[in-house]
Amino acid sequence: MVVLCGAIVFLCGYIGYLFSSRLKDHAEYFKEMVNLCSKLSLNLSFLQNKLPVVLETSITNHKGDYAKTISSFCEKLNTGVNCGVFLPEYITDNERKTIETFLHGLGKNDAETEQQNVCNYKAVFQNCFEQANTKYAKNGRSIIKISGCVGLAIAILIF
Amino acid sequence: MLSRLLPPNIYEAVSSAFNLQNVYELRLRENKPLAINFGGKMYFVKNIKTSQNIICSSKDIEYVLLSASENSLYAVNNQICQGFLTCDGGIRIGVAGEHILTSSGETKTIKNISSINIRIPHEIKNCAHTALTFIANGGIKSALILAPPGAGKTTFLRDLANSIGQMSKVVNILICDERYEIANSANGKISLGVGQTADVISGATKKYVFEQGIRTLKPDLIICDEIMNEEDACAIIKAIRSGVSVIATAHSGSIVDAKSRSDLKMLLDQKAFERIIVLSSRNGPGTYEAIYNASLEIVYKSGEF
Repeated sequence: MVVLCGAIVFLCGYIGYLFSSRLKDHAEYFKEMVNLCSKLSLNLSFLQNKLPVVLETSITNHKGDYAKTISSFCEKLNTGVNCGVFLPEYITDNERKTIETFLHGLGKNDAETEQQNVCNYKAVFQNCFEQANTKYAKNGRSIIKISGCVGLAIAILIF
Repeated sequence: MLSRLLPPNIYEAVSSAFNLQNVYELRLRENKPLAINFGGKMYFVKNIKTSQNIICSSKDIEYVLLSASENSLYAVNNQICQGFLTCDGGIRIGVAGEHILTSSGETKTIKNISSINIRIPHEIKNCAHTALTFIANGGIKSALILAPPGAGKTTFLRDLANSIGQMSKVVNILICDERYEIANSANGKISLGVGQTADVISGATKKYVFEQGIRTLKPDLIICDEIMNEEDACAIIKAIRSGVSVIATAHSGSIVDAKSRSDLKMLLDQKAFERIIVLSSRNGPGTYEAIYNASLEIVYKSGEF
């Protein structure tokens, strides 16, 4: 019985941790998008390397959802096949549209216009990051605590 | 390379109807039939299913431009402003559209590109062999290669650089690849053979190469494409007078035509070049018409490579 109760508390706590992780991933995803914009901006102002080179460099040593998004977009660029770009589930519809418009607009302008676009999107992604980060800071730990408490309550009831 | 460059429907039609080895150029014009230069003759490309001429759309043109620039138009805008674009394999794309000008009248970019001309280079080994015997006999002589567009000047120049680079006496060559056509340097890599002893400066003006290149790289020979104006001619004369040999090309069908251009007239009158080689496409690109010495006396006439 003690083992069962322990398992229930652990399970509830783990579910809470997963929800909390989604909030954290959401914030980190946009943090990476902001970093990407900085890298693109730097590239535009100096080396002007080709887009696939910059994108592939930006995901070196990255494994998360951001890397999957960029990797799928690079594949689309390289193959020319009109396949969709990977976007994680926690991305909202509005955010999805913004990211897709941003990615599909890359490389289609001269350096000056491209620089302006990247700066605009950097501000948008920074805003998304701040919202997601606030949500995580506000709710992230609470979710784990609440789910742990729920697990404990169930365990007490069973016991 | 063409498979990546062209929209799938166009590539399918071209590759199924023509041997790609003999395709010299493809012309895509918005809402006009796709034209191909195959073995020196122009044809319209037909759809393999309907047998109708393939009509190019603005999307087809955009597809080619984005593929050629690896989805990075910002990186090639300087080239586009000059009316061309180069991509892997030495393929050159000429563009025509609406120029956006700065307040000082310079082209800022070209929008609504409505026509593109894709020119596919053909590496022909030893095509400059005959000329080499006249140029490299007793030291490298300065030479001017005259030919109309499409007569193989750049191919000839590339082979010349390659052949000189293989000579037993080491000749330090500096290639002024203003339009990325000679060595086709892309992403920092030279993709076309220009020999073992060549340094390549890509994208810089002739003025820069002839001034700074001589100072910093100390070449024995400078090779450059297409003399365009008197500024180029002056830079060449200055280099030759300072002891560096120069091999350059210019658009002109003959010595008479060349003398009608002020820049070439200046070079010929001052006997800057010890050899003048006239090429044509009379019997296919790279047909030798004649080789002249500095006094414009014929030293070799007719033949092919």
